[in-house]
Formats: sequence, structure tokens, C-alpha cells
Amino acid sequence: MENLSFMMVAFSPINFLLAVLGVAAGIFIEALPGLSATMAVAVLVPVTFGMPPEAALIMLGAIYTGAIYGGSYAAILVNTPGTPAAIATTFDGYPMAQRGDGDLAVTLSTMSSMVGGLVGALALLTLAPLLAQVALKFGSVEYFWLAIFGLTLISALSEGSALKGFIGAGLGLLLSTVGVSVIGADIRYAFGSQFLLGGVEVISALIGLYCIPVLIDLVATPSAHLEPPEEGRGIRFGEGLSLMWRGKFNALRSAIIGTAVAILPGAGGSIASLVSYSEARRTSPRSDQFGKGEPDGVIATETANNATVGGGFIPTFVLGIPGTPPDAVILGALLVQGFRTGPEMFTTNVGVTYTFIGGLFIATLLMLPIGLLIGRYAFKSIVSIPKALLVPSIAFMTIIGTYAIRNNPFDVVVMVVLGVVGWVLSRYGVKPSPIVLGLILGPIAEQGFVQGYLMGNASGSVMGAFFGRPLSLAIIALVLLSVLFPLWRAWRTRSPKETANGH
Amino acid sequence: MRQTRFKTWKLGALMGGLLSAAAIAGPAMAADAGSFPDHNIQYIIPFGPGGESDISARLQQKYFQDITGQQLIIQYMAGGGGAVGWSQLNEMDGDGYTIMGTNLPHIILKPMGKDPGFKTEDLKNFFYFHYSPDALIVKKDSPYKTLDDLIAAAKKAPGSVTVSGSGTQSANDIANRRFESMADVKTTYIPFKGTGAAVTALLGGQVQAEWGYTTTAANHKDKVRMLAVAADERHPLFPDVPTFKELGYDMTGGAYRGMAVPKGTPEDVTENLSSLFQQINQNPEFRQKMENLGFVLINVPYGDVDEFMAEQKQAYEEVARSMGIIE
Amino acid sequence: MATDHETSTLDARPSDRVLAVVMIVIATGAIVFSRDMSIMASVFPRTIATLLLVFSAALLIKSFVVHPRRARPEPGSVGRRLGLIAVMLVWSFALKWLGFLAASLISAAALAVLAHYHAWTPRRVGGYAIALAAIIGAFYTLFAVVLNVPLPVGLLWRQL
Repeated sequence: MENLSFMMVAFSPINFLLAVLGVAAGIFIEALPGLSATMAVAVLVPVTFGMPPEAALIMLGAIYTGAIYGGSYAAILVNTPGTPAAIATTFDGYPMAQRGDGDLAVTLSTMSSMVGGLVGALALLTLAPLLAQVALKFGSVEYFWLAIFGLTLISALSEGSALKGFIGAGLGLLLSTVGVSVIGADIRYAFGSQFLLGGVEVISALIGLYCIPVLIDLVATPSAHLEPPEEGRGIRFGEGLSLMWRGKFNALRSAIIGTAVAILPGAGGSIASLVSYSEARRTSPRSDQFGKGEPDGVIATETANNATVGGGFIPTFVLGIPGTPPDAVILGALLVQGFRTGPEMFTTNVGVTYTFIGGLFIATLLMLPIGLLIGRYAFKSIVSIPKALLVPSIAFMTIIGTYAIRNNPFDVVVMVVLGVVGWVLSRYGVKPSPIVLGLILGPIAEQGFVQGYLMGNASGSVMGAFFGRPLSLAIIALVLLSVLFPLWRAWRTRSPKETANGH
Repeated sequence: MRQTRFKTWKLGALMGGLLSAAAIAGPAMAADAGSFPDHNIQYIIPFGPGGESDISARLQQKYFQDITGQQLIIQYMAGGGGAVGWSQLNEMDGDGYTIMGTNLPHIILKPMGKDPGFKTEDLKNFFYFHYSPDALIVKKDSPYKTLDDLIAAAKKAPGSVTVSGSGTQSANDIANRRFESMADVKTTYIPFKGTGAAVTALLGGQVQAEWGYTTTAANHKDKVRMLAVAADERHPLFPDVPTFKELGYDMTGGAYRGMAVPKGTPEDVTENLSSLFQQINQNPEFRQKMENLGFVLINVPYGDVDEFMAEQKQAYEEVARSMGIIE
Repeated sequence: MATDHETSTLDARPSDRVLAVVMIVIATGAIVFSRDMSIMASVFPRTIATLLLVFSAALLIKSFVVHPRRARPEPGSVGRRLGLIAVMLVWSFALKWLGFLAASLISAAALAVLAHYHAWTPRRVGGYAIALAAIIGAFYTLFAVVLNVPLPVGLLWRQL
């Protein structure tokens, strides 16, 4: 009950106002391709110095919540995921927008994000210390297998040939090794250029690989970017609600997957939404519609990626180990305010913690009205703005957004070049998603592998290190499942036909 | 005091949502601190947000504003373990309104191997303000109660004791090499990306020990134990933890943090900056906050930087030679 | 044999072969350039490059065994596509020299011309110019002033 009263602090008028402002600013910022949640949070840190810690945390949490949700706009309307967690949103969100259902997709993403956010925050409230212990069980070897699992998922998910999916992933993995290596401190594939030392930045690669091809095809024809919606249809709230009800198990499952996977620092967010998406597709009666504008695809990824907000705070608060880059900034702000994370966040500092969680709940609930309002304008303006203005505006945002990530003009060059390469490759059947996933998961796989090898060597059994722990065996089983399941299904659908023809 | 704090807070609260408070709150505060600085200063951290370089800069940020009335605006320019930022520093405007964090031993070790795009001597450091002393850390329930326990175990089975740390040829890696040669043992050093990942490996029981800093131990106080600290004196936060020196190993060192300006910055402006940051270093509240996080404050003003760097360079060159980074 | 028009797909054999060969070159290059790396740092890129080599070789062989089809690429003007690519490349390189604002205004204007399919009336030119300048100005201000991003001023102007 005492905790409840701490949570009520979050409802004080000033804190409530902060949450409203935070959510709106977060949505706005992340809706533009390239502006990241990390940056939004980082800019606000000095502002929060003057505030009481509770207010500061509520504000930062609200921005973060809004930003993760806002990322879905760019994914749906311009096919450009603002964060790795929104990659799978493009699979169905963009096709929906293209055929004139962009308003419905935005409404669905708003509702799903709210559901996911609530589940994540609930987990943070009730299960944090327990789940944090699970996160610690994940060692280098488990991260290695997890990265492999992610790669098998993406190759299975990518449209067209699995072989080309693997080729794309391989290219992304090679790109991830460019720059100064963490292990060995070698300078790899920089070809003497100081600019390549920092490697290929993931978000700029995302922007380039997804957004530049859209721009290239936009200028090629006079036809409209998106199909305009029918007149006077509004936000299609009722339709969205009934689709949500139909996909309730999907949403719940995705929220749980999102929370659970997000507790793994570093890897969680990007893998969580992919796992949810592929699960949704696997279990859906309409699985052949996925990738062509299936509402359940949007529901799955958007619930999952907003559940990662609460899930990611679990290791941040309990262990002092940030789950995602924005978590790292918030953790830094906490330390500067004089708070130490760890179990005391749930014992001696409980007031701040519960007020913060209360703030997260409020921010998540506020997302629905604010999101629907902003989403409607975003959709309308993208649909109605003439091409001659739309193209330069999007192009400008990709450039300024990419630059701002590391304040590095060379990242912009890399972004454009990757975008052009990605456009050419996709004409040859290699889609951007496997490349990006390779880029994200490459370092996790590499470091996990070498660390696992070194540890195995020290303990005398390398094989034991990679195949000896129950948790890694469980992930290996998942890897095998994700590779073999599509083969099995292909075999099952083909075999009756063959029997009929052949025998 | 209480009231002004509340006032600023309300002001910040109102504008925060518009993301504009950062720009407006600065000038709204007392801005009569002489001629320099008369506008905000860009403080570039060549790493990502949330690390120790960021946190210590964030602490300076508050007191810089108290002293000058201007903001210290923190930017991140991550990549290549700092190399991306340092290699571009001298191309920036040398008017004193752009400064960049520099870290030891990074800026000495990196140019020793392959060319990272900058040379140690090219960086015009003007102040070194603190360091995080190296520390050998184990889990609270570890069988190694003292440094001797760990050394005995490593002697018994060379290479079987695993130690995590952040990066290769980094402060942690070097500390481990120095320790190995002084104690005449062999361990297995396992590099991780960043201190956070290295300490997670320790907490998860994947490795038996970790090379970290007093700050790491301060942050995870309830779960870890330090075996020894590579500082001259015991850290006030950990009065029970011996220094390596006390145990007979002549080891002091850690990650030093300072700031540099682009090469073209005028001498008087550089002097000015140096004394501003020295003032921050003397603020008792700042000192207390830094100490609570496990940092150790040092004062190396502009006039002493050359000597300090020469000393450090010599020390690290010796280690680098023994590690085979340079011949 | 179905013609390309009937199926609205294209023969993918030539394109698959080109892709496979390019990837084989990249993979081989990655292996060659990993020679001067330390063992710890080269293990991963070499493994990946080898896998890429295997997959690409498989694709090459497959293109001789089966007859893969690919979707017909979206129709449209090749000139405008290449124009957009050229503008974006010049834009990204010009930031450092021309400065963010100048490079962006010029490139955005070029893109507006590329993306426009109707006649240009003086009214439209004026309207679009004002709208574009307003959009760019607003976001430039957002980044440079509010978010404090140090956008490049341009080395060219500094030398003048």
C-alpha cells in the first residue's frame, strides 16, 4: 500500500504535466527518421539537474516511452525504422500504408504500444529483482547463440530465397567488423581511413538501407507516395479496437516476449520484436499474409518493442547495468543526482523508484490520446504534401539525423553509400533486413564467441563451454527449431501433392 | 537556496517539454562572470553516453554553470575507442568554446600500434581532473578473500584464473599485464566491450575476477569485494581495502580523465579554461560527489600538463614494450 | 517456356550470377585483408567471409541448375533515380566544405526539381521555395539551437 502512495506522487499536477510534455516531445522526436531517443534523453539531462529527482525521472521516462512508440510512424509511413526494434514494423506497416490503410496501421501501433508498455511496466513493478537474476545467467556463450538465433530468424523471415537472406546477413556481419576491434584492438578493414575507425554506425545504416531506396523510387514515378485514405474515415478507432481484440493473444504473447528478451542488456530490444513477429507469423492462420500488410504483424512488433522499455529498466535498476543506450543516459542522470542503483532501488530508495514506475504507467496511458492525435497529423501531412516537397524534406531529415548521431559528417557519406548499395542489392533479391541484423548482431556474436573460447580454454574444455550449459543448449534448440520448422512446413505442404501425382 | 532551486525547477519544468530549456535557462542565470566565456561551451566526449567519462563530465557541467553562468554542452562523438573524436579535434574551431575529453592511457597507447589518425603530442591537453584507480575485484562470495588467495590459485594452475576487463591494450589489460609480471603469475584475460559488460561477466559468475576501478566497486558495493586498489592511498570509500603498494606490488594507475582544446586555441584562453576547471575541482560539493562515486581527484593545470604527460608516457611505454605493442 | 510478359517476372539467372560473383570478390577480399590481423581479431571475419563464399558459390551453382525468377523491378525514370543518387552523394560530401545550411538548401532545391512532374509556374516555384526554406530552417534551428548539435559551418567560408 505504501508503494501505491509513492506511485500516486506521479499523479501530482506538475508531474502529470511533465509526463504529457515528455511523451509529446518523445513522439515528435522519434517520428522523424534519424532523431534518436538517446539524443532526446541526453539533451534533457542538464534540464533535470534543477528538478527534484522524481520529476526528472518521470520526464526522462516519458520521453523514452514516447520516442520508442514514435519510431513506428517513420517505419509505417516512410518504411524507415528509427530504431532496430522497429525493423519488423516496416514488414507489414509500410505495405498497409501503401494500400491506403496507413491510418489504421498508426492506430493499431498506438494501441499495441500501450498494451506492450503496460505489460513491461508491470513486470518492472512486480518481477524486477527476479528477472534481473535471469539476465545474469546469460553469459558470453549464451549471447553468441542468441545472436545466431537472431540471424536464423531474419534469414527465415526475409522474403524470397533463404540463400540470399544468408548472403545479406553475411555482408552485414562483415560490415560489423570494420573499425577498431574490441578484442585484439586491431584496426580492421579501415584501409588507412581515420573515418572508418569508428566502424559503421547501426542507426545510420538503418536510415540509409531503408530510407534511401524509398526516396530513389519516389522520384522515379509521378504517382503518390501512399494511397490516400477514403474521405471522412477518421482514425478508425473502432476498427483498430476490433483488430486488437482479434489479436489479443498475439499482443499478450508479444508483450511477454518483449519484456523477457529486453532484460538482456545490449541484445534485447532488437531481437525481442523479431522473435515476437516470427512467433505471430508462425501461429497465425493468415501466416501467408505476413509481409503483405497483415495487421497482426504490426500488433506483434509494436507491443514487443514498447514492452522493452519496462523490461530494459530491469537490469538498469536492479544491477546498475543499462539495457539500452537511453537506459545508459538515464542511469548516468541518476548517478549524478546521487542515486545508486542496485537492490536499494527497491528497498531504501523505493520512493523514487515507484514514483518513476508510476510515471511510466502514466506516460504509457497518455500515449493513446497524444499518439492518436499526432499520428493523425503525421499521416495526413505525409499523404497530402506534394512530392516535390516530400522528397527533399525526408532527404534532409535523413542527413541531419544521421549527422547528429555521432556529430560526424562521414557517417552521412556512409549512410548514403549504404543506401545506394542497398537499393541495388534489393533489386538483386537481397533485402535490407538481413544486412542490418548482421550489422547489429555481428559484434554480439563475435565477442561472445571469442570470450567463450577463451573461457573454455581456461577451464580446459572449449566444447564444454559452448555446449555444456543448459541455457545454451536451450537456445541451440531454438536455433534448430527456427531453421528446421520452415523446412518441415515446406515438406508437409508439398508431400501430399507429390503423393497424389507420383503414386 | 531552497527557493531558487524550486524556481529553476519550475522554469525547467515548463520549458523542458519544448526541449528549449537547455537553450534558455543558461542565459537566464547570472551571466556576469567576466569576459570569458560569454556563451556556451561545447564539451565533446569521444565516447557514448552513460560511461564514466560522461558521468564525470555531467558532474562538472553543473558546477561550470554555477561559476560562469554559461552552459557546458555535452556532445558525444563515439567511435574507435575515442579515436574518431581525437583525430578530428584539431580541425575544430580553436576559440576556446570547443573542448574535448581526453583519457589516459588511451591517448598514449592508441598511437603506438597502428595509426589511429592522431598523435599523442598533437592533443593540447589543458587540465587533468581525476582518475579512477585500477582495482582487482571479485564477487562477494568468492573463495579469494585476499590478493594472496588469488595469486596462490593462479600459481597452482597457470591460466586457469579468468579475469574480465574492458578492451584489449586498454587500462585494464595493461593493469593485468603489470600485475602478472609483478606477481609472477599467469591468468586468462578476457576482453569485454566496456566496463559494464566486464562487471556483468563477474556478477554472472562467468569469470573469477575483474579488472575494474574503484568506481565499479562503488557502483556494485553490495555484490563485490575489492582485493586491492592501484592508488597511492586507500580510497576514503573503502578504508578496509589495501593498496597494491601496501601488499608489496609497486602499482599505481588507472583511467585518467582530462580535457583538451584544438591546437589553434590561444594560450590565454587555454589558461583561462584550465583555471575554471581547477575551480570546479575545488568545490567541496563536487569533490564529495566525485568521491562518493569512487573517483580520485587530481589537479594537473595547464602549466603542469607537459610534465605529467611525459611521466605517463614513459611509464606506459615500458609496459607497451613488454606487451609487444612496440619494439 | 513462359515469356517474361506473361509471368510479370524476369529471368533471375544473369542477375544472380552477377550478385554471386560480386559477393565472392568481397568475401575473398575480406580474407586477404585479414592476413595482418591478430589471431583473436581475424577469427570472426574469416569465418564469416568463408561462409559468405560458400553461400555465394551455392547461388552461382544454383543459377546453372534451376531457373530462378525474380519480380520485375518497379518501373520509372532511370534518369531521375540516378539524379537523386548523385544529389545525395554530393550533399553528403559537401556538408563539411559548404556547411550544413548551404549544402542542404542547394541539394533540397535540386531534389524538389527532380521529384516534380508538373509544369513549373512562377507561383509554384515561389510557394515551394518558401515552404522548403521554412522546413529546412525550422529543423536546422531545432538541431543547431535547441538540441545543440554542432552542425558544420563549412571549411570554405572559414577560408574566405
